[in-house]
Amino acid sequence: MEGRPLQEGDLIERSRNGDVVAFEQLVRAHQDVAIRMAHLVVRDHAEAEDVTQESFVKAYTALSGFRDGSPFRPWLLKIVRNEALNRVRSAKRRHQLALREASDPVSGGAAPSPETVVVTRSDQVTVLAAIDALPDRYRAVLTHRFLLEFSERETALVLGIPPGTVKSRTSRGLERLRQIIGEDQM
Amino acid sequence: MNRLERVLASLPDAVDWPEPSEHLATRVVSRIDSEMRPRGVRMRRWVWAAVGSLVILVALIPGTRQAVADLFQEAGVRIGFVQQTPSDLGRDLRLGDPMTLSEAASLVEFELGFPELLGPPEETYFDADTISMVWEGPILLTQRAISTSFGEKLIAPDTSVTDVQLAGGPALWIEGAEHSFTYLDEQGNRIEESARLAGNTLLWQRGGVDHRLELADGLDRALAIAESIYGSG
Repeated sequence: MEGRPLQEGDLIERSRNGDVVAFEQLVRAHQDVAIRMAHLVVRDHAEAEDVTQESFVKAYTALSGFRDGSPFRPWLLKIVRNEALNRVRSAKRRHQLALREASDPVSGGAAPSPETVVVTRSDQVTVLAAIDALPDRYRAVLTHRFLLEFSERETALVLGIPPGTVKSRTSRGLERLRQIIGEDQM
Repeated sequence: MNRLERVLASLPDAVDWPEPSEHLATRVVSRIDSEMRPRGVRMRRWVWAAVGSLVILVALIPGTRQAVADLFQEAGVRIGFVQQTPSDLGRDLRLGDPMTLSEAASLVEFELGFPELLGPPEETYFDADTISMVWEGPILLTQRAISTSFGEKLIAPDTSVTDVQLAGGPALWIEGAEHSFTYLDEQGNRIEESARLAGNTLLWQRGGVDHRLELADGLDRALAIAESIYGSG
């Protein structure tokens, strides 16, 4: 035990036994992705912070139901997502995801050759708007895969659908995205 | 990578994501502290729980009724009979927080008994006001202050209950099939727990403390272990 950094499993076990210091470490390890998950749904920074805080408190009380050996992050993010969805069910309007202040063009590195396609802010805005225009089932999968950069497996665990469904919805979602944007545009 | 894929790949860095505030983690912890404590030291309220089948089943086994009735008063442990004990019990001992014997002893107000016969326990756990010691075997001894609340013991019909004497006082020996405990937690949820180890149980009270010794061995061995707490083992 001495000097060994605590593994996530140890932290979970300790938290389950009431060790809030251990739980605080779990919060710090996962708060970045948790707040992004919340923001993806509620689209408001302050609200996302609030959802994240509430979700961690709920996760603590739900720890006894966490299955040992199963991945913790998707289990936690599912709680975050549900909490966020509960908040937006009562709200009518969904804001579009904003882009951070940045300079154009986005794709960095060497000067673009004719083959290199430069990504512009306007491309990004177009794609984000198109994602929002997708039916829920495709939007959920694409935002997890491309905005949160989750693997197919993790996306499947968080959304509670089979990995095969994630794969097929990703490919159909991308097709739909192209249709919304217009083939010639992208 | 086509153009759409390239745009998608650029989005995670481009979106104006919120950053968690520096207080987020501490707020979570303070909320847990204020809303849920005590949890690490979980307060389990042992109470009488009403189980409809108890009265009928006890009535079916007249020989044990008096012993049972006596123990209602004597041991603060309610014994009832049910057709079947919950099936998935016994996997997880869930004895509480592991700690050293001296740590555990410092957390309770009663004087812990040590069965000399077994030597120091391999493991000690603390949960609420209950201390559990485990020896190879496995043998489990739990001790907890007698309070105003009560545990309830559910016993399958093919289990025998015998009134026995332990170091000059009454005790109860439960032998046979699995049995389980039922209690209500602080939220009022009914929790069913196995007799922690499948096997036999010796129950007694001494010095304001409830004792529960669980082991696979028979009555003689159980009594020898228990008596060794009082210097007669």
